[in-house]
Amino acid sequence: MDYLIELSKGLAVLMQPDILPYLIGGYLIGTFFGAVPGLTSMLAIALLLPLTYSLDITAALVACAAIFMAGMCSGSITATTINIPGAPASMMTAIEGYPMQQRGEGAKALGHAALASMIGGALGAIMLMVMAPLATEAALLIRTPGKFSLIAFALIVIVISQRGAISKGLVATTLGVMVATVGIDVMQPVTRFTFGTGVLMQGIDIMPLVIGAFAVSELLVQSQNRASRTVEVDAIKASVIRRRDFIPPWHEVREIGVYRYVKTAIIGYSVGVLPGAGGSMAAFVAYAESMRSSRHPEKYGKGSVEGIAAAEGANNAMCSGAFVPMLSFGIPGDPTTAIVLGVLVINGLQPGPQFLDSQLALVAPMFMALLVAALVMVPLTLYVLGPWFVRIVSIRRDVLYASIAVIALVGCYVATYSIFQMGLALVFGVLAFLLRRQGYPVACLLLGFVLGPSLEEYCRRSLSLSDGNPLIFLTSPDSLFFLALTGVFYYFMVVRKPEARQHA
Amino acid sequence: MKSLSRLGTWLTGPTGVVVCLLALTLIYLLEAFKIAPPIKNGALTASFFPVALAVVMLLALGGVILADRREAAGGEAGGEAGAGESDEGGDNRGDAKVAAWRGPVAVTLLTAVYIALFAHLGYFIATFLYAFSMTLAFAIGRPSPQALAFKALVAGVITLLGYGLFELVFQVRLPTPWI
Repeated sequence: MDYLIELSKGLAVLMQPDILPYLIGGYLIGTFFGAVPGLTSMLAIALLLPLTYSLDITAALVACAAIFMAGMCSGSITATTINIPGAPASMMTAIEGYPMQQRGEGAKALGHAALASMIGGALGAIMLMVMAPLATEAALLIRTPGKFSLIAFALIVIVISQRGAISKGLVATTLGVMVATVGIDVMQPVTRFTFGTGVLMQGIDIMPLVIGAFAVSELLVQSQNRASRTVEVDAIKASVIRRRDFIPPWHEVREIGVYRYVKTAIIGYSVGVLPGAGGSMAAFVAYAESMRSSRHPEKYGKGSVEGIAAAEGANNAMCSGAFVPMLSFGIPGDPTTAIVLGVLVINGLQPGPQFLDSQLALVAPMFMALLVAALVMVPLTLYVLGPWFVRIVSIRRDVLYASIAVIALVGCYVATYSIFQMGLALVFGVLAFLLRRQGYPVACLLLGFVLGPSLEEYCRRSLSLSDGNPLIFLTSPDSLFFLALTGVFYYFMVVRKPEARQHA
Repeated sequence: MKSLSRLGTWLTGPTGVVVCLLALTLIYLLEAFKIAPPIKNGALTASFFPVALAVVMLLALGGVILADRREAAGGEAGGEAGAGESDEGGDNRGDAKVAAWRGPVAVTLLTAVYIALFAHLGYFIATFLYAFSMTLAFAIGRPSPQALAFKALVAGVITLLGYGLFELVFQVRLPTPWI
């Protein structure tokens, strides 16, 4: 009951005049970054990170949640109208939405995408509010060796989910953990890898890594693109959308069915809980399941509204799922929640089993922001901005990237008033750019960096408890459970997959 | 000049990146051993985890090298048909590679100069110059005088908006040359 009261108080806080603008502003920023090809909502949250130093924590969390949700559904607009997914999670939507656009049904496709995003996002937020306390109680049962195995499980799943680039995923993740070891040791008063400089004594902050890996590296990648605008002018002329066509016909909504909407939301939410999965995987799994169980699988790929509903419902439900391991265990499963974790850490908060109980007042507005963003902001933004959206996202690249460069670097400076941090951001940017060019997943670098210190701490604490005997990881039931779970995931994601391909 | 560009291409290619990471890992491993032996008097020390990480990294890099070799072998087998392409094509590809690097090198240098001058020139001058040069780095071809004037205007607006966002909205102090 207290929990429900806190949640309702969270809604009241969200509606306060000093917090609500962050929901609206965050949603609009997320929509813009999610829709512009080449920009992502993750970049938007990365740019927001330095500002959180001088921002109220509730406002920062609300803005992050709004950006995350907006980034997931706004990619469908350019995916449908000009066949360029604004975000990777909208790739399946492009497959179904663009054929509809070519038949003159683009607005209807966008309407279906918005409706599914709305339902998926709202159900995901409700599942988060219901499941988060249960996950927190489960987290209380995990002891030190189990915590090590859980983090190891998360890191291993993140690595093996990099299909076709597992070795590169492992390199990037390990590099992230290595960067995190710079500074004072987690258990002894010993400095490591400072090379005699005082500036590295406190370790490397998350902020230059985030700004470098996601903003500066993006600038370097985009500087190789020779187009003058993010979306060409011809594409704007070809996409005429009328507002009155947005409302999806009732018979089509009934054909998709309540069961499919709920099922895709559950799939999306569950994929979100898994480490390293993300919106694209949620959309792909839900889309594949929807096609498998459809009465009209022949329509898929030619403009199926079921396909759009499955992909969009799942990727928005994923947003809420991704918060569960971060809030309950302090383990972010994807780069966006890793940056949100950074926001909390910057403000002196460490998520974990006790976090929800002690800080519910801070987190409840964020939960409500996910719900309100899905229920209100998704349809409202489409209705208000929909007809002009392609025009809005077609902007001069020189203006866009010069602005991003200034916000990223000055943001880096104002967070710590340190020129050294700006330099570090550039170094990480160049490193991430070189890694990205060779297909190394940069998201793994960030997740390794975030999870590395806890991995080391729990590893060494466990071994201290057992006088250096590594068998403690096998004799502790919770640890054994996570190690077995790692084995199961490894079997299904790495071993069984190639076998299936061989048989095919 | 050509050998320099070849070196740059190699360093940023698949082998170069692996070699750089390998060098970084070896330096890291040596530094880790300098902290303390990984296990001392039966207890783990501050170097235990870094040493373990370096070993994992070396194994992972070994995996990357093997995967790259396998891929290259597959590519060679499949690409024999196209082996008779002229040297002229190779030169053009080399030029295109150099051209593709101009943007990232320019952005990196401009950003490095901006960081170096930020505190000395102050926010306004440094940011205006940086924003202006970045609009040039993202421009296509040689800009006309009108285009330059427009870019200067854009740089001015970005500088003012940045000031408004950071100093006025978020109330953080930006460096000025007069303080």
